[in-house]
Amino acid sequence: MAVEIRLPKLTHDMEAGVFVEWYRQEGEATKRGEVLYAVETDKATADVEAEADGVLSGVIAQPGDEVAVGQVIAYLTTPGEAAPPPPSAKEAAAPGESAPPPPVQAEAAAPHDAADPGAGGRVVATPLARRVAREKGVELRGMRGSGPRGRIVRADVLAAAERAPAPPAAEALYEIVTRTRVQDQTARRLTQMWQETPQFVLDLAADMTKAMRWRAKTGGRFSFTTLLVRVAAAALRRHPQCNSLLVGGELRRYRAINIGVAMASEAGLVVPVIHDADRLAAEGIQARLDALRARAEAGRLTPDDLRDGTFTVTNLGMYGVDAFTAVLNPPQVAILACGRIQETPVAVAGEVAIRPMLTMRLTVDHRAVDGAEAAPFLAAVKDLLENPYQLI
Amino acid sequence: MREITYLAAINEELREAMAEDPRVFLMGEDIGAHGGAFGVTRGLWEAFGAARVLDTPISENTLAGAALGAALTGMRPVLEFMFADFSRLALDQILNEWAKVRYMYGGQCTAPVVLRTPQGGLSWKSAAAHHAQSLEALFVHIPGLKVVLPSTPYDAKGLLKAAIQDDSPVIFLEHKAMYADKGPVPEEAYLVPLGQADLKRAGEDVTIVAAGKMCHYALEAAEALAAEGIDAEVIDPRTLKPLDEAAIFASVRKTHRAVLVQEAPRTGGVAADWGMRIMEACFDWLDAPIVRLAGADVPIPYANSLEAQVWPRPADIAEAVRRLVALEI
Repeated sequence: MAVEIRLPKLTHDMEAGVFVEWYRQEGEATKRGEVLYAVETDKATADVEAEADGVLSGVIAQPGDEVAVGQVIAYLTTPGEAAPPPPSAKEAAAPGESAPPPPVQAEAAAPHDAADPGAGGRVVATPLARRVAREKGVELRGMRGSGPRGRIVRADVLAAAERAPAPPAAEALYEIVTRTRVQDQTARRLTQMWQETPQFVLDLAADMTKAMRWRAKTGGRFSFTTLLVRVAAAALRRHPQCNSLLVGGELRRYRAINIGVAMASEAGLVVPVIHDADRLAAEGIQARLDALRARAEAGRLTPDDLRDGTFTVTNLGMYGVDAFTAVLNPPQVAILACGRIQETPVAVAGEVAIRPMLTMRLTVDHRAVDGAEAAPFLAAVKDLLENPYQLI
Repeated sequence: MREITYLAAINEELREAMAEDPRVFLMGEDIGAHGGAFGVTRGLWEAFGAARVLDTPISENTLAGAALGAALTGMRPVLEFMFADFSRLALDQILNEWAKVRYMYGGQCTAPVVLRTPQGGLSWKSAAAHHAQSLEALFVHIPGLKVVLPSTPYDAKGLLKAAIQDDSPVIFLEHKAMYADKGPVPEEAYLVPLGQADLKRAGEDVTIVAAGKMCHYALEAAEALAAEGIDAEVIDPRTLKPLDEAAIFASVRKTHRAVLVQEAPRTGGVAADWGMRIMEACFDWLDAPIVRLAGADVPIPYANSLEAQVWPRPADIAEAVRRLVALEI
């Protein structure tokens, strides 16, 4: 009995995804729990496991297809079992219809038409046509060639290259940048948040002399981001107001401290999460950060990596930014932005001293947290950064 | 230039080689006073005597063994088997000894033997299953042998000189249906190197590869196609082993289409190997499937009516090219 593979809801607000690839060929066997395919959601590209043992059959979803949650994308069958006809064919047949199939279908069953590119979606082209298409940037998908059974030959590719309109002069002034789903979704959420959220920022500079000494003593094993996560987690434990989500009208103060770290990936800005950061030592945070960064760069973050963040740290120090205002990552109510550490003249006990200073800026959702609640948290962060041996 | 027959060209080369090199001698059945079953050695017995033109009993395997022995002791024997079909009687000597002796003795000796033998059917009517086969694939398959199948008097003479001078055993296949074909042959001595294909006709639209009699059929087809505006290139490998791949690849990369023709039965033939080599080396240049025309996988029938259906004809080659160019294949 064939088992339908339906696109699961991978994140709580997921409605659709873009199908990325199958890890098994049609006709290949898979086992329950084996990674079977990848799908791009709003947040990341996720690997999805097979839900049962079986042979991958009747593949419907192809790379690049937009697939709705719950839609059938293929079947798992027992060896030798045929896949059910695709849903479109079922829909096409009128219910209870017992009339003989129309002649078109009889023709379609003839062996010569089996390779019809229109039917299978497979591009049928000669090797030379493919090479010329690559060289000329001609897209073969969807093209019907003049060869037998629609095979695309070189002449078809050359004709298509000829037909392709030269880009109008106006368009040459700019190029339209393709945006990923992650980027689109980020833009939508930020716009909504910006319109709905009254927010304020608090600035505070921390003297990083001891933090730098600690970092040097540990052989540079730990990044400043690791230290920031460690410190923010400890400060949130003492001042939990900022470790909250505002969902609807409900302010949820979280017991777990799950710190998201904003990072760039090919798909756009992503915020993978270090769960229970307050229970991890610097080693644990650094290891988790390294793993997350590697997966982010490969576009392979899993929904679990992105789930349940309660607070966010964003660090642009490595880019040489002095300080900046981060926008909130809703429904979280606070985000900590850190710039670079720069040598700055500061007054110390009546003298001017040059100290490595870090400017932090905390952005806060004023509906959830007010200044008097946020300030002690930020002060705690400063205190811990200036005296890191309390923690480490 | 004077024109002589394919048969006369071979006869002339044998005469030249024997005059030039005292190590060259001939062995075969009825090649002496009788001049050979087809008359290829006519006049040589009279010219060189019975010591250098040896009439032998019907004993192909013994003949092949004796030839190898002579070659190992410094002679350059040229054998004739009446029909290539009979060469199977000597396969142990040819496949297991001639082909391997140089290799197995670490190059201490060579086996410069030439086996001349006529093969093929066509227009040599009703030769039937034992006298009309094309057996080149059998020899091409064996490492250590070189295999030649000339298609013109010029090529036959020049290639035979190269074959006799070569230190490897060479299977020199003559097409019996072409013995009477005439063509230009220079009076002076010349050599056609082994392993060099010949562009028999230049063209742009399709590459036809064909040797022996099939090369003439391909040229005939190309003429018919030219009248229709299809410009076919015809390549004659001349030497089936070593094969001049470069010439074939260059042509296919130019025309993007290949039609391969062989007289021998389709299965396991040289055209299959040519096609595979083209696929390996020219995949990204192919704008159509490679087309193969070959003899039917049957023993050659005796009846004229059936025999006529066994081999590809010029019209079949032209039709295949026509369909290929019209994108029907």
